[in-house]
Amino acid sequence: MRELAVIASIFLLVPTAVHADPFRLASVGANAACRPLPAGAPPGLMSLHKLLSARLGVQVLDCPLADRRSAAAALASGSVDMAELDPGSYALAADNVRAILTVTPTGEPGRVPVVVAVTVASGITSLADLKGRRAVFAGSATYDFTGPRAALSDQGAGTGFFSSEIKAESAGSAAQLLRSRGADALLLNGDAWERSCRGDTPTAKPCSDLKIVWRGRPRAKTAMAVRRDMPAQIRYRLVGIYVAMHLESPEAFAAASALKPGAGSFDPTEADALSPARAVPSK
Amino acid sequence: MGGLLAALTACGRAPETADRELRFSIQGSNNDPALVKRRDGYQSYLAKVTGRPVKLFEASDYNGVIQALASGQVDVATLAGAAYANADAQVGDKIAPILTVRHADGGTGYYSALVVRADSPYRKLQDLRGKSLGYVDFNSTSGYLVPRAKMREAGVDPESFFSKTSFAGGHTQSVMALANGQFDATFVQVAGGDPEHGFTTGSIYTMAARGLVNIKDFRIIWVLGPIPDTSIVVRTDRPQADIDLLRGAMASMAYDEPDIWTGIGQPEGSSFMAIDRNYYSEIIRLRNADAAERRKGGRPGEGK
Repeated sequence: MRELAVIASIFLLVPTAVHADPFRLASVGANAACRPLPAGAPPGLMSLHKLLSARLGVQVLDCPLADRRSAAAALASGSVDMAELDPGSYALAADNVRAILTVTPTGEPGRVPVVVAVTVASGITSLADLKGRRAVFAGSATYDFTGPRAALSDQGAGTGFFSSEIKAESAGSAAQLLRSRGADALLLNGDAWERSCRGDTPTAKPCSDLKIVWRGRPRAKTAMAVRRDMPAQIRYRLVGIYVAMHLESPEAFAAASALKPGAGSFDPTEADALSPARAVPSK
Repeated sequence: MGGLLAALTACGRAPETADRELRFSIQGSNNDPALVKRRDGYQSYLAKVTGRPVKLFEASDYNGVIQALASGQVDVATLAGAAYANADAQVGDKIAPILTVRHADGGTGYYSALVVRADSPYRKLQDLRGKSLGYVDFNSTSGYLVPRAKMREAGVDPESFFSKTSFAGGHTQSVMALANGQFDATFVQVAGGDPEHGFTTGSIYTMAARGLVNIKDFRIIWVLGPIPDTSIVVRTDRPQADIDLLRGAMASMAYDEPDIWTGIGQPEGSSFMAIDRNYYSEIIRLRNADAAERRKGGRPGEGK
């Protein structure tokens, strides 16, 4: 009984939003004023707006814009609340907007952090120092190669940046090649680095002779973006709704992720996931 | 924008509720530095991002967390699959799992390992006939529920195969008891790898990293899994806006606060992903089957 009273009191404390400003969701393809979805809108889009409206407690408006650049400008000026951007459009509004969600294909890894390591003795201190040097990837599986290759290409270290690229059998054999001076840089996913460098005893430091000169995630191809000054609690509510959308409303998810083949779910993302010239601190 | 923000605040997070504490439960011992670090990490992060005080409900065993969540004493808890299945049987849809950890390679789950001392002669499950076995806890997935189901599938009746079975009370206790010779074998969780490449996390490895045991003193003779991982479970009778906020904040942790994420022991490159009750459907089925078997044959440890 006491529990019911507590729960009831919680709901009584939550006022109903009656005359609230709407949530303005950008769509790309045509220029028009923000408006409720027309009656003949695709069912999936209707489901998306219905879900967002129910969960946010406000009306949701569709804001058609000509392209992603227009959407970025509208976000920056505060005339829409959320829009899907790509790196090019994001760059136009980077001071005012941030990424919050990306789409991950079904069964595929997310945007895993990538590590570039060298030997301490090499004297190499940055990714730029590695131009024309030999790189070794820690494993020959697609997962071992694709993420690191993509992340480095984002940073200007694409095909041809290294003088050679070797695919070792494992993280262990890649590190061995680095230590024996058969390669100058070790390129691997962060989880492989962590597994390789975590000792089995309190004093073990198996990678004390290596150092990381760059680490970061591959840049997102597209992302849902909001204004940077959106309060964190509202941003997290949006993230909370979107990450479970494929489970709670598959129809809405299909509409929200319409342009992504094989889309499996929305995932949160870091603010600068779309940054084309992202400065990533090494540690 | 200002109007929208005010509206959203008014509809879901009124100033009157903003001060209501978020009550969080996570099972484990204060003697385990890894657990304390994770618990403190969640507490400080959630307090920061929700703007609300976060009160931790400490429970020394699985059942304490289950009862706290089932009774509504806490709003959110971390539960492993078997514990969730137990709570689900008690209160049904009053609780729901919302997030679990996805590994860097896109997979989920962990494994259960049958472990013996390295100086013992045991090399396979069948070698343990008539020997003693330690389970972790009645509500443990990798240390009780899944091993019992898989032993039955392998033609071994866990009620009669061993001379004695007992509960150690936790994964750490299971490893210590095995090391001390209190039983001949135990099932514990292993993770951070797979049967082909080996494992890097789980009680044996974390205890070795703390200097409590030597990894070379143990041998894994059977690996089961992958098993659906531990999840964040919420009371569904809390305001939906609060559940959305919690899910979004927790899911964002790996991206917005990567140092905190790895600092609390989550593997690099992993992150939370959304789940629902279906994630545990197999565990719920196994729990129900085990309960039926126990009704036929008695609870392990009773007279054995």
